[in-house]
Amino acid sequence: MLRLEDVHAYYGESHVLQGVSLEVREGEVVCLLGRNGAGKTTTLRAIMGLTPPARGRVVFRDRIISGLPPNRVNALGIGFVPEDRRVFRGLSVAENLQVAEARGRRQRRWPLERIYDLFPMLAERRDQPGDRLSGGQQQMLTIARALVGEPDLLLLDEPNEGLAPVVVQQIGRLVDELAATTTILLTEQNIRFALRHAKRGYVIQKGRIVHDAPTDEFRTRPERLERLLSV
Amino acid sequence: MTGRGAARRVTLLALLAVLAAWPWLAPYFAIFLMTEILILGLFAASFNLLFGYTGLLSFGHAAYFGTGAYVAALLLRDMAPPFLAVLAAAAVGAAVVALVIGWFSVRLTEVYFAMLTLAFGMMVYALVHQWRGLTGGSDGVAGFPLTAPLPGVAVNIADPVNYYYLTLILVAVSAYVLHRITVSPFGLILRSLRENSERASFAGVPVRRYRLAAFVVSGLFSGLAGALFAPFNRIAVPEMAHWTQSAEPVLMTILGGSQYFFGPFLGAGVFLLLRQWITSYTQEWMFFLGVILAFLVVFLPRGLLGLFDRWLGGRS
Repeated sequence: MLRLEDVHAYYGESHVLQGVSLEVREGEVVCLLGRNGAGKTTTLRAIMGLTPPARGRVVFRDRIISGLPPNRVNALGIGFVPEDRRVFRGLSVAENLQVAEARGRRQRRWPLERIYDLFPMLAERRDQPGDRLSGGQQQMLTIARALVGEPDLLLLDEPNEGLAPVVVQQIGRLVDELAATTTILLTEQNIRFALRHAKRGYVIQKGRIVHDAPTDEFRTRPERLERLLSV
Repeated sequence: MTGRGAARRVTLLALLAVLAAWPWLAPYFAIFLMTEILILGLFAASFNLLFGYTGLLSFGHAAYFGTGAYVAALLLRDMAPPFLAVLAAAAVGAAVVALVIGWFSVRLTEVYFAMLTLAFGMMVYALVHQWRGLTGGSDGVAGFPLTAPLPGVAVNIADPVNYYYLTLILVAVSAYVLHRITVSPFGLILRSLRENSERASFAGVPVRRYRLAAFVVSGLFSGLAGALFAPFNRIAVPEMAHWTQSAEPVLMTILGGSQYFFGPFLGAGVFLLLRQWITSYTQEWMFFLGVILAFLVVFLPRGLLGLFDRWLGGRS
């Protein structure tokens, strides 16, 4: 479904992605593991067109999408949930969702009623401004905002960062639930969360993929994973 | 919430009543002052669609104001069609100029956007200043007739009271349309762009297209304001396209409060009243106005309406 082929990307002068290649197949939940600064966020931004690759290409459903602006990538069916729960702080919950609603294409799998069923606490707070929500609520809103764009592939950037354990559990259940209908690529530093919810994993180090395996293999040989993720 | 909404509606109706009765309430010279406040208030409000709602600071809005002023003056001088047709043509002309300038400008943001709009604004100024054959250069375009608003409507708009009412009606209608735009789904997208255009882009918003649309609508209403301003002054001069003219809506909007729809109108009123008041004491009104504005920007970052809002117990 999604393929990155030797993707290089820069932030100013710094060469953040140095040839990332990975693949996500339809229906999979894949996690991208790596330490801070390894290039996880940049990989997702490169897919989304927010940090366009300088070299290499991104292929989504047999179509080269590297070079397209983010709104076109979104329109092709890729939803992005950035780290730090980036909601529109001055817009209400309902307005946050309205901005992102799919623009007239594809059948609607995520009409607002279904979103509010899945996230009852967003329904209760639909007229509250985004900056009045707690961290966990903001994370739910960012996920909901990506869903109303009707994605076939969802990119989740460190969905648990800085959240309370009980919220992490909720997000885990949500990922499992979404996985039934949506392909997911998520980044994580939390090995246990990744092992529990993903079927396959990549490890990224200094902008390169250094390991690729089913998470079962990580589970049976955790010491190998620990080594890859430590200094 | 509803209490505040009702209070706002009552205030607005009272304000409209005062404006409707203004020629009977106020001394003669104040009719001119209020006409000018309304016109420049519309100019500032159209600027604020871009600044307060979309998050783009234009330093070149005199280009559209000046285009409106010159199209109106030249049409009246050379063809003398009905006045409302003149205004419509001038607004459309300004929108076309905004489309061209905007097409380049919305590629950039922040200070680069501001500088580019300033540069384009100065190009328009240079054009009207140098193209003597058409615009009369620094002499401007004067001596044009003020035509009837529509064929068969024999209202003499050269009468200041009639011109005031014409202005009041057009500014009220324009303000209504602008307000509807800000609360529409389109306006919501603009506010999302102001907050964070990157977030809006990966949420599926074609950022440049929306920015350009806002730019053109803003230019259209700025052009209408300019088209009301030149006949009001009986002359179109290059200064109406100068960057100092571009600075006025910026100052008025910041003064009144860019986060409030009526902020630019209030700002225009206070700005022109202050200027009127200070010039009655000294020629150096710019200096004192500058001091007052600097004070307000430092201590009232949300403008005068932000201050009232706080007094009335609104959100911090």
